[in-house]
Order: sequence, then structure tokens, then C-alpha cells
Amino acid sequence: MLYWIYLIRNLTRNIRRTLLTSAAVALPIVIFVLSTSVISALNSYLDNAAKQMRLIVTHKTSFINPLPSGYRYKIEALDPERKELTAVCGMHWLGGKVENDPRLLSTLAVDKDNLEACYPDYHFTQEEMDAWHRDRQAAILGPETAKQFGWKLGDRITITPSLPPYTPMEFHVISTAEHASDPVTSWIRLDYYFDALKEHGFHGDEWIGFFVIKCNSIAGLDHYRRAIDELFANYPDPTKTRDEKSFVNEFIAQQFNLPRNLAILASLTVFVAIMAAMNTMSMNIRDRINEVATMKSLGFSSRSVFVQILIESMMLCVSGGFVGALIPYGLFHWTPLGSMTIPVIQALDIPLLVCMKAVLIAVGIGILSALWPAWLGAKLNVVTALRYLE
Amino acid sequence: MALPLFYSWRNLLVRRLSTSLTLLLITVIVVVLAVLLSFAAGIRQTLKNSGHRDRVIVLKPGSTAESTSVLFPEETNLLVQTPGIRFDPSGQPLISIELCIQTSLPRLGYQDSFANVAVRGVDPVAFAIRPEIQIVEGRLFDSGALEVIVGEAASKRFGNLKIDGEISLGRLGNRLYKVVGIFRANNSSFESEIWAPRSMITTAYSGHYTSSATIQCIDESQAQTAINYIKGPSVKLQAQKETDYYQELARTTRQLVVLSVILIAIMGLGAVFAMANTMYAAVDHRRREFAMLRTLGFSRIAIQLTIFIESLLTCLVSCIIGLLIGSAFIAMNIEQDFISDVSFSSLTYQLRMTPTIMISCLILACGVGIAGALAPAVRASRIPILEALRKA
Amino acid sequence: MFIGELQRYVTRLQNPNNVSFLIQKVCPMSLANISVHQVVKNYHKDRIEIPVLNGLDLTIPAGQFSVLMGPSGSGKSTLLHLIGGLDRPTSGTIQVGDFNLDRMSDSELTRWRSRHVGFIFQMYHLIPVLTAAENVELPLLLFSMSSHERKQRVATALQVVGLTDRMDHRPNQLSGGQEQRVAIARAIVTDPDVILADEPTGDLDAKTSEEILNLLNILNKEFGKTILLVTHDPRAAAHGQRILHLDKGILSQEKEAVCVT
Repeated sequence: MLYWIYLIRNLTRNIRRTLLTSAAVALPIVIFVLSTSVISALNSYLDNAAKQMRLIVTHKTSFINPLPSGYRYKIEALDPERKELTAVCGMHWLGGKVENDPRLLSTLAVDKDNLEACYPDYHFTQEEMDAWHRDRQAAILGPETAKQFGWKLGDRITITPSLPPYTPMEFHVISTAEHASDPVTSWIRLDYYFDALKEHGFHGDEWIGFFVIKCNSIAGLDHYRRAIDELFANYPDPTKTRDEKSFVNEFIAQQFNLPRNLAILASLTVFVAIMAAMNTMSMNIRDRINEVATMKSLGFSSRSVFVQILIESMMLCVSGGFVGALIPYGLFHWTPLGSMTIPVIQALDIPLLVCMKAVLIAVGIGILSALWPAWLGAKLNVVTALRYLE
Repeated sequence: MALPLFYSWRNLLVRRLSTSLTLLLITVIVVVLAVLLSFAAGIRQTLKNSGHRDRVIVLKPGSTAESTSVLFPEETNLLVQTPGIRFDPSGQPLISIELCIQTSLPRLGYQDSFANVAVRGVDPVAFAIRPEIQIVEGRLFDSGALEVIVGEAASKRFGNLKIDGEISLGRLGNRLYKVVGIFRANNSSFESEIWAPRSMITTAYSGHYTSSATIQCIDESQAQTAINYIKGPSVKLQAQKETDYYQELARTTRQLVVLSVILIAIMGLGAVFAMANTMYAAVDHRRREFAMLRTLGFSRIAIQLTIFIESLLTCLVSCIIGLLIGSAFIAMNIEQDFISDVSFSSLTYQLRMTPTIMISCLILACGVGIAGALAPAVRASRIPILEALRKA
Repeated sequence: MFIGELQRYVTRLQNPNNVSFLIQKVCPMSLANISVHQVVKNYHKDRIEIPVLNGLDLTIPAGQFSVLMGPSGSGKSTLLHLIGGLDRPTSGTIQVGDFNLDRMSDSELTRWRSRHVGFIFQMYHLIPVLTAAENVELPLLLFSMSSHERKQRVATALQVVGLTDRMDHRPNQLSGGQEQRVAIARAIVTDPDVILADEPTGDLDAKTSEEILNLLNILNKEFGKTILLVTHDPRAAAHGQRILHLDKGILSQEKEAVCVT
């Protein structure tokens, strides 16, 4: 008990210093938590993408080049009984803008019949699907997009696609896909889009952006990834088939290599926190050198002095780490900040696990930052220290 | 009467460990700021170099970038009438009709990673409008051949883009195009592209359409006239100055800068606390010394000043070291590419250390130095003289 | 006032429960004879070897209150530190009781120190963040002992030094003399054989010094502690049974011990 009293009083004897250090550790931890949360959001998105066993078929030359829409039937013919290949859904990227608004939308025109089969993880309700099939102008909005633009279920909205026919098109919001893993992308019906193209004199229904294929087994996924590319290898438009995870990863890698650079940032913040804590601990030991000497003359071993300094540092850093983890957790869970949109990953969730990891890291910071001061304390020569003081 | 500078300097050297830890901490933050900003600065500079005020870029209304724009000959033909247009000596209007497509190429230095590289089909007039394009290796393509020239940045960054390399383009039939030249373009985004004869690209893509038109106007004010005409009822196309178009593409970098500033503000605040800690300790250790200086006749201000100078010296050294490390890092990782969320094509750019970044780092370091020394300096100047002299 | 306390000690001594742990060893055959044989100690300063002790011999029989005097720099404190196992001689042997200090490892020395030696310093060296009682309890953390027993020992040690009423005060709320008495309580709470005091009155006024020295006399006479006191104050020296002079590493004796028992 006395031991702990001593440790705690050591921290409270210079409250100002303890608070400043806790804050100096807490703030880098805030960044650590934020950047680790972003990484974990990206990873969980990728993991979900991998779990869904979907393939993306694009043009081999560039994913921006269209494919003949007839490829859908050729792909379906690879597994006519739908044993492993559950569904094929054609998709066409439209982008889109709302009049007098600089923000860009991410809209996909999709085959109406197979959307649900390809995206069971979105858990569309029966009503939503009924409306989707009934209404040519149906639009399923990404929840984040709906929030940003203030669109609600039942709204009539007008979007101008960034591709031909470039004319405003009206849609009816029938769902805001609450379970969407990609909270931004909105879906509209391909048949409605093709009609709009025809109406404005564009020929286009023979071309489509890419295909999403849903498989029901890993073996099937692997098989069709190769089979589809082999099928079209000698066609004028060869394909490139990837699973959803690699497809998304390719984008992320080109967005400033976000996961890797954030990991670097996170480790730098840990480094900064170590510097701050090490500074304090070395000052603490320097100020208390006579006490360390006294403890040793009383018979406390070098090891116990070492451990005692380590524990003191750990308590100091954990308090900072705790605050540093609590700030982003609190801000994103209990304040409107949680609904803020953040570039690239949109909505940021701060997982409790990341916060706990941050506190653990703080323990590590405590140990690392105290190693040197603790070693100085442990190897302190009592005689020299006493002589120096008197 | 102020205390001499070497007094502050020597005091920093006395508490070597504390000073170097604080120094290191601030250095790291300066490096992070410099590198984060160098991304945005690099992209911005590249895009800024691409645009000229007296050039107008014409796209389909509703499209957001060249890659999503489709123009038909009947539309581009109307542009010849545009007022304010400049003519070449032979009397031809300087209008470059261009087709932008993309091709997937491996990114060098990454495994299984592909970039979407822009391919621009151009006529000879494109080079008259853009005198910054200069062949530095090889030669210009022959307009009737399956040949391309490649921007220097793209050739360094993506696979198969060296002279005599071959890339396949085209929708119908895999046509192989040979790289015959490497060009520079004043570090603009064009250096991230592959340029090919337009006729050879349009046929390869079976299209009769094009993506954009670039018009060289007589001057900036004439450019505005041209824009008004093109947007008007006679043409009904989207037109903007090149500078505005590329600024819009650089929008992502604004978010990057905002994000960097927030991150650095949080870390900087942490550094302020660490600095305050260091300076408080320094003040507490020297209570007697300051009391003595006060009895000698140094003013409170002089004492405060010496604390500020100690703090600022640490931060300045950090700033210099941080900028050196940052520059070294930038020099080592100079070639970068990112995929624009507007045009979906890869943009190669160079990390850049600019005067703005240097000043930002300096402001950060000085800010930390001043904010961190504020409270300790006040404390130092308020030390009760007699009491401090008495007590050890 | 101090005389009154003195009398109270004596009455308390009649009550074996109270100070049982301290009187266990009250016998003239206490274990801790100190014998220093041919001890040489050199210090290094800027690569120059400075001899402090040069082949010193000294025997202090158990239960003796010896005083070591000498000018500053004569090596008094060094000798004290050597006997307390804080430092090691360049050559020579030091035996305290059954323990041959130069044959012990650092960790053995540390453990030995916690059980057999009590230090008292000129600057007290109390831990400022701990109360008087907590300061006294500190060395007991090195013993496996129930917290009840610890509290009892602390209470007794504080009683011996007469500071029971101040046990919850922090060092900065105590006077110099009170601080030194806490330090003495801390030195005796582990019931060491030997008490080593390095200028314990150097920072105190004459009256308080006298009180502290009387306390040491009590510890010596009533509890049979072997005491080595380093001082340069002749009045303090008068409290010892034997006065030793150390000058330039050479020891001379001034006053022989009077048999206590």
C-alpha cells in the first residue's frame, strides 16, 4: 500500500508537470487513435469486401473503358445452373452532380434484376425491392450521400450524370441502404439510364462499365476469376477480373497510399509521446536524485528502484493515453462530430478496440520513455549522489 | 538591458538531455508538417503548371473532367467561330481538338499495382498551343503511325514507357503503339500522360467523338469573351480558363491541407506542453540564478526575454533540422502518383519543398517556442528575490 | 521536556509488548563487531588517483558508541560509507558481525544493509511526499511483514524518538530537529545492529543537537546498538564512549571506551 502511495504522491508532487506531460502524451495519442481508426475502417471495409466473394470484371486496358453489355450472358453461360456463380450484375459509372452544387456524386446505373442477389450484405427489405422493381426511376442512395445532400425516403431528386447524355434526370428515393458497406455510392436502374441515352440520340446500351459477379464459394471465386479472363482473352475487348478487395485496394494505394502513410504517422506520434514522457521522467529523477540515493541506502535494490521508476512512468503515460483515447472516442460517439464527413473514408467510426489498443500503447510508451531514466536511477552511485548533495 | 545570447545558448547546453529530447520532439513534428504539405504543394504545382490564363478548355456541359466528356464533330466545328481566338502565321485558328482515353499500366516499384494513365490523342496544332512540350529524348510521333510520345514523369513511374517500349491501346484489336519519344512539359500534369496522333487513337477506339477542345486566345481578357461565346446559345458547351479547370482538379489537395493542419495543430499543442514542461523545470532549477540577476539590476523583461530566447533557439534548431530531414525525405521520395477522384486518371507529381512550406514550419516552430515559454517566463520574472536567494 | 520523555522511555521499556522488537537484541554479546582491516580507498578524479584511506585498521566492538572526528576531506564519510556497504574499498577487508562485506555481491550488500544497518544523514533525506509515519515505514517494505506488524513497529519507533503526535505531518511541516528524529526512527525501525550517523547535528542548533545526541545515547545504552558517529563538533563527540581522530588517512585514538554494562 505504502509503495503505491509513494508512487502516486510522486506524480502529484509536481502537478503542473504531471498534467503537462499527460497532455503532451494525450494529444499524440489522439492522432494515433484517429489514424488507426481510419486504417481499421479501411481494413474492415476490405475484409467485408473479401468476405462477400464478389468479382469485378473490367476492361483489361483500363477500368474506365466500357465492355460490351452482352458479356453478361456469356459469363452467365459459364455456370448455367448457378451452382457457384450466383449472379452477374452489369454496372455503369455515372458520377453526377446536382445543379448549382460543386460536390460530386458517385452514382452507378445497375442491372435491376441481380442487384439484390449480388449484394445480400446490404439487407434490402422486401418493400425496398418491390419499389426498386416497380419504379424505373428508383434510386438507392448511399446513406452518407443521403445525409450530406439532405435527401430522404420518398424524395424526388434531380441528378445530372457526368457522362452522356449529360442532361438532368429525375429519380425517386426508395432506399437509403442503411447496411451499405460503401456509404457513398448510390444506385439507379440501368434500363432507365439506357432509355435516357436513346432519348438524347446516344447509342450506348451495347456498352457497359463493368460487371459484378457474386460467387457462393471461395473455390468458385478463384475459378471464375481465371475462367472469365480466359473466356474473353481473344475477344476484341479482353477483360481483367479481380476480387472486390484487390479492386478497392488498387484505388486506396493510389490515394496517397493511405494505410501505409497513416501507419507511419501513427508510429511517429508514439515517438513524439515517448520524447515528451522521457523528458519528464528524466527531469523527475534528476529532481529526486537524493531520494533515489536515500532509498538505495535504506536497502532498496537497484532493480526495485528501476521498477519503481518504470511504474511511475507507466502511470503517467497511461493517464495521458486514457485521456487521448477518450477524447476522440467521446467526440465521435457523443457529439455531432460523429456525423461529420471526412475525405476518402467518409464517416469515421472510432472503435473501442482501437482505443484500448491506444491505452496499451501508452503503457509501452511509459516503459520505453522510462528505460533510460530508470537505468540512471538504478545505477546511481549512492556515495557520489550523497556527496554531491552535501 | 538584455542578457547576452550566449547565456541562453550555454544554458541550453547545460541541460543537454532535456534540450535534445524537446528538440527531437519538435523536429519530428516539423518533418511531418513539411512532408504532409509537400504532397499538396507538389500536386498543386503540377496542376498549376498545366494551366494558362489565355487558354480555354471546352468540355461537354455536365461532365466533370476531360475523361468523362464527349464532344461530337458537329459541336467542335462550331468553335472555329469563337471570338478572341489566335491564329497561327498560316491563318489556322489555334484550336486543339483532343481525345482523352486511359490505359492501365503497372506502377513501377509496386507489385500487382496498376495505374490509370491518360492517353491524349492530339493533332500537330496541340504543340503550337503548348510550346512547353519539348521532346528531350527520341523524336515526335509520325501522325500516321502507331507511335506515341510519353511524358517524362510517366515514363519514370509506369511500366513499358521507355523509348522503344510498346503499349497496347484501342478497343478493337489490340494495337501495339511504340514509344518513340519522351517529352517534358514544364512539370505540368501533361508529363503524366501519353500523347499519340489523334487519328490513330480515334480509329483505335472506333469513335467519331472527342473529349475536349483547347483554344489559344489572344490574351486573358479575350479568353473571357471566348468563354462567354462558347457558353452562349450558339455553341452551348462548357468552357473555362485552363487555370480554373486545373484548380478544380486540385480540390482534393485542399482537403489534404486542411487535414494536415488539424493533425499538426493537435501535435503542435502537445509540443507546446512538452516545451512548457522543459522551460518550467529550467526556471525552477535556476531560481537563485534569476534572483541574483535581478539583484544585479536585470529587469523582469530581461529575465522573460532570456527564457523566450532559450525556447525559441531550441525551436529554431528543430525547425532547421526538421526542414533538412524533410527535404531529404522529399528528395528520396520525389516521384509520386495519385488517382484523381474527378478524372480517374493517374497524376504523377513531385513532392515539393516550397518557401510557403518553410515558412509554415517556421511559424509552427516559433509558435510552439513562444507558447511553450509563455507561462514559465512569467514565472521566472516573478521569483521573489530575497526568498530565492535564501533558499537552496 | 526531553527529560520527561526520557523517563517515559524507561517506563515503556518495562513493557515488553511495546518495544519487544527492539529489546530482543539487548545483550552485550550483540553480533555486530566492526572490524576494518588494512583498508585502502582511492578516488579517481579526472584520471588522477586521490588516496583517501591508506591501510586503515579499526575495530569497534559491538555495542560501542564511537565517534569519528577529523577535518573535512579526511575520509570520515568515506569510512562510514565503506562500513555501511554503500561503497567498496580499493583493498582491505571490512567485517561487520558475521558478514564479510568485500565478499558480498551488490545485491547481497543491498539486502544486508536493509537488515543490519541504519543510516542517519546530515540533511535527513526524508521523502518529502510521505508523512513522518510513512517515511519510517518505508524500509519495512523490504521485509515480508503483515501490515499490522509494520504499523506497530512504526508506532514504536516514533515513540522512541518522541514524535507520535507528529506522525501524520509531512517533512516540510516539521522542524529540523523533528525531521532528524524521523530519520532516526526510520533508521531503527528495521532493528539494525549498527547505526551509522554522518554529521546528524551538522544542520541543527545547539539545543536540538543535544536532544538528538541524547537520543543516540539511549539507542546505544538501552537498545545496545553499535553506533558510529561522524562529526567535527567536539561537543557532539563528547557523547561517545570512544573518540577517534582521522587525519590524512591516519587514525589516532583519544578516549577509550568506558565499559557500559
